[in-house]
Amino acid sequence: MSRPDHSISGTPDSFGLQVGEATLGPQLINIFHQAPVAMCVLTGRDLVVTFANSGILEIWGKTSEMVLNKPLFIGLPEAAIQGFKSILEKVFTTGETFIANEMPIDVTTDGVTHHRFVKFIYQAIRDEKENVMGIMVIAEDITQSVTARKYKEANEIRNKLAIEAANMASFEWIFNDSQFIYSERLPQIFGLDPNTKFRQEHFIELIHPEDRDIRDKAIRKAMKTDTLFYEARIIWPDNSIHWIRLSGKVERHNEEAIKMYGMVLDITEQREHAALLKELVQRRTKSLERKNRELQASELRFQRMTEEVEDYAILLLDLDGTILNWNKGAEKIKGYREDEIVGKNITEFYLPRDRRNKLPEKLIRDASVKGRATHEGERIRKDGTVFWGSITITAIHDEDGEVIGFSKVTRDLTERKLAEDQLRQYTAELEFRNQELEQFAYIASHDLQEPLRKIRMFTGMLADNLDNRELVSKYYEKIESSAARMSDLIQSVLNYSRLDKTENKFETIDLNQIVSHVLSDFELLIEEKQAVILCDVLPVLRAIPLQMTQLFSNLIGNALKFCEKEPRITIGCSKADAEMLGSVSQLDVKKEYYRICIKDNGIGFEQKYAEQIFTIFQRLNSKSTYEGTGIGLALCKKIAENHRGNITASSEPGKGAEFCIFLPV
Amino acid sequence: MDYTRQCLFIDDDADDQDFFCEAVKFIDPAMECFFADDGIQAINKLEDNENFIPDFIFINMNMPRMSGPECLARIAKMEHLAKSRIYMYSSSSNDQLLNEVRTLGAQDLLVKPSSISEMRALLERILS
Repeated sequence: MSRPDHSISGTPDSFGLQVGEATLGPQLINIFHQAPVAMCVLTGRDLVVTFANSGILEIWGKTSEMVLNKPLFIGLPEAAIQGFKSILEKVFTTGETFIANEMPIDVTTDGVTHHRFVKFIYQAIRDEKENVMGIMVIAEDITQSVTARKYKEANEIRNKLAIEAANMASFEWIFNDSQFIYSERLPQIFGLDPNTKFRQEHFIELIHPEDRDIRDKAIRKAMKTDTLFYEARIIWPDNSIHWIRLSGKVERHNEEAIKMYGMVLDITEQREHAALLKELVQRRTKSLERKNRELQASELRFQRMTEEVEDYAILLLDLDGTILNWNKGAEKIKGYREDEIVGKNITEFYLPRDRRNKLPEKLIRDASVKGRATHEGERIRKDGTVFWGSITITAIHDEDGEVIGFSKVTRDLTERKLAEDQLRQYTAELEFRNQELEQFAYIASHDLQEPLRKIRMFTGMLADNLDNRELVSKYYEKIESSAARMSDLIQSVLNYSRLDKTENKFETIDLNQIVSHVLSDFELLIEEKQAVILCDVLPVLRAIPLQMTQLFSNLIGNALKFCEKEPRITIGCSKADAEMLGSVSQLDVKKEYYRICIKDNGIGFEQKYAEQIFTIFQRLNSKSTYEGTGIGLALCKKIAENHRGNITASSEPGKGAEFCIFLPV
Repeated sequence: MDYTRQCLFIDDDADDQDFFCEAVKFIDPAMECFFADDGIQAINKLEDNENFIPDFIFINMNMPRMSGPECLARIAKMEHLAKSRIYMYSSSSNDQLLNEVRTLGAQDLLVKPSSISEMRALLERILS
């Protein structure tokens, strides 16, 4: 008999098998080799592998050379540490059969470890004396089915856990016998006692009437697509409403639907949460919308508040001073329209020299540091004109105290400034005039004393000489004369004080006419003294008529009066040159002036008195020689000044005098 | 007294000269009055004739050409007039002016009287 290429050892005899018919020996070996189970025979306490079929070799992952005729644990060392040794030893010792339905075994082949599951029997083999002489091993590799099972078990456990965790209930509805299987969670989901016998009909009964057709639709769809899914409301016994989600599958066997199974989940909370969430979101949204509206309204109000203000420019600036908004006041004060200026920097409003000196930057810096910066000064409008502005820049902070921008308020104070300047000027003028008035009030009263004194003296003398007609006449004259002097004096003083009144109006007048009138007033005197007067063509200009008359009257009168011989008077007119203007006080060298000179051939005076003579009440000559109140020249000076001009005098004793009037063109 | 007293009255105002003259005549009809219309005239008069030694010299404060005080100063320096009593007079007086004129050499600063009787009383006091 040809032996297959298996491992055998020894002859059938050395086997020691208690086999009935010896002829079965080799055939038996053959059968064992071909058995559909794994088999091996371990002989002796050393458990020498005397027989191993391909099945067992496969399980062990070894070749027969590796294991045959060797003790088991030499050829299969890895088995020693996995509990097999003790089991086998026990079998050998006790002769008791060991059966394992499922035992893990790790075998190493070519360095790779395989995890296997085996089912085996260890049966003791006895000799004729009933002593254990070896162990027969019959095994089956059940790795695959065990793995599959374990996998399935794991899945089931996972599912069960998932279901439990998800509060899901499971159900199974077998169509043909209307069997309905379910987990005890299912009645609970429907608010029923867990022990309730839940029938498939419950599904239909307990669903909210309004949602029944949702279920119907889903079931119909499931029959077509094999997938079941719907969410519907159910009514609990206490009439509370809950939501369930049902998902499942239809199982078919040969195209025929045999069962439906699936899971039910109570999603009430979810729904409520969802509803709540939705409500919260709605509320939040509404709240946000409202806040937004309020903000818009507030912004609008602020805008309106600032926009309409006309007297102040109210601007918002960013950190660099860029203009972010504009208002009516800003347009009015600075002249720019909103679309022209928003986005530009405040440096636009500053004078070039202020820009060079970085004034706007400094103000912004100050506002950043101190919270506020104020300034009064010149600013430019769009059209280039300058105005006097009062500026306040205030820093704006966020909740953390960081500066995020500035507000800038500008007031046009040009008018106020002008008014202030005018007031200052007016006050100064007033003070000056007061002083002047005080001075000459004193002098006037002083000078009035004199004629009054004389009147008293003369009346006294008159009283003593009433019989002397000559003396009476003489004294009477004196008294009269003094009284007249007083009158004159008072009149001139009044005249002088009236000179500064604002009622004096400027008119366009022809000086030639004025002089002509004055000369006709002096007709008699001119005739008497045989005076000759030559006059240039005089200009037409703006002046106060009465004062011009007084001026020329005084000067021509003086020229006629202070003259011993026949007066020769010339009145000349020319334009004053810059050099001349420079030498006369109170004149503006940049302006144009007429120079009208009245030259006479009278007694003259010492040049050193040239300024003094214009002082009120200063007389260079004794009263008796030349009549005069002493106010005349002071009057002339005042008149010239009233017209923004001046008057000068030059003379030499005995060589006449020249009085020059400077009047602006 | 067996010599005629003289007084010099320096004033640019003719009326004041008259008032003075009248009053003097009343007090001392024998006194000789001399007049000068201003300081320059007066000094000329005094310098021209050293024998002209007025007992009293009255000088008006406010005068053109040469002021009263200037005139006073000049006259006070004239040695031959050492014995002359010089008086300044003015429409008003005050302590400062008084001191000034005294320093310059005047006896007193007189205020111009406003009536004849006042005038006479004043001159009475001085000329006696």
